[in-house]
Amino acid sequence: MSHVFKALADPTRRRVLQLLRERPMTAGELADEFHLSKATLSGHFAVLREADLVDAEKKQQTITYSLRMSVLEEALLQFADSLGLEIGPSERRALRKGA
Amino acid sequence: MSKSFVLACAAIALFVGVIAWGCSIDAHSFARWGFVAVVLPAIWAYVEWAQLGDRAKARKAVVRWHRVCFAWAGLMLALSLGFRVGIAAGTFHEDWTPAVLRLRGVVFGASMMLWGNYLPKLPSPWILENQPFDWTGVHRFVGCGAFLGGLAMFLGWLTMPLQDAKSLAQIIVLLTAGLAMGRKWLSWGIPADGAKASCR
Repeated sequence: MSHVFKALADPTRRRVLQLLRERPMTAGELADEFHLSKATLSGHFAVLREADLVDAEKKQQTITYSLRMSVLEEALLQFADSLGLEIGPSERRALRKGA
Repeated sequence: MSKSFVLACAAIALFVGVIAWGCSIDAHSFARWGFVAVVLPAIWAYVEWAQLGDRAKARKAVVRWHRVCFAWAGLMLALSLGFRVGIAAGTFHEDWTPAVLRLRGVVFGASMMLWGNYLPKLPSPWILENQPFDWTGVHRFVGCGAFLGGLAMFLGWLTMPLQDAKSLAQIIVLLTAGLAMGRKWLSWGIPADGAKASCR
């Protein structure tokens, strides 16, 4: 469960999940929505996959992500979004130790 | 043999065992008991046979999910029918019926909530371009509906008079099944990337 909280605590990852609610998207399409480096985005995708919130399908050079969230996880996403939750460095360290 | 397969077999064997017990009390209705005994294993066999998809790992997860659902359904049905047969056999007292009915309804509502909650997490057994329908959209829609329906049923069985709770449960089950089939039918042939978010 801590993986899910960790994943939902970051606004970029929440934005990725909100985009995937509309339709499955390739890594490239998702990258176009953010002004972030490829490595940073890959890190975010890895966290989302670790939390089992997205499904990744690789075809040749393209990875397509689709949503894989339970009803309660979606409710938690909405809740975190509406409150604009973001974790600080100390909580982040604690989560890293717990993971 | 996988754990889920053993679990489903055990639950269905228990269900068939309860039916055999019922048949031993009411031997005149042998054909009826026999029909009931065949229905659940037949549905399970059909579901196992009908599993398609080109992503082996995801397909395995879907099959495991169905087996766990059938194991739970078999156990619930065996307990429910076992109580009725137990009353006929004189093992249980008739006065326990309202409490058992209420407990059964509450457990059913909670199970439906759990089922609905997890449903959208099932991975699609098809690669995106081969999906015969909008897998993610349908599962999110049905998951939300089942979760909310299960919650209403859970609260209904806890608080309402038995007859009202029973009527509510019947309406919810029919509505959920109807909406699920309708949503799947509507999305048939629509590519996954054309699907809109539906769990709102």
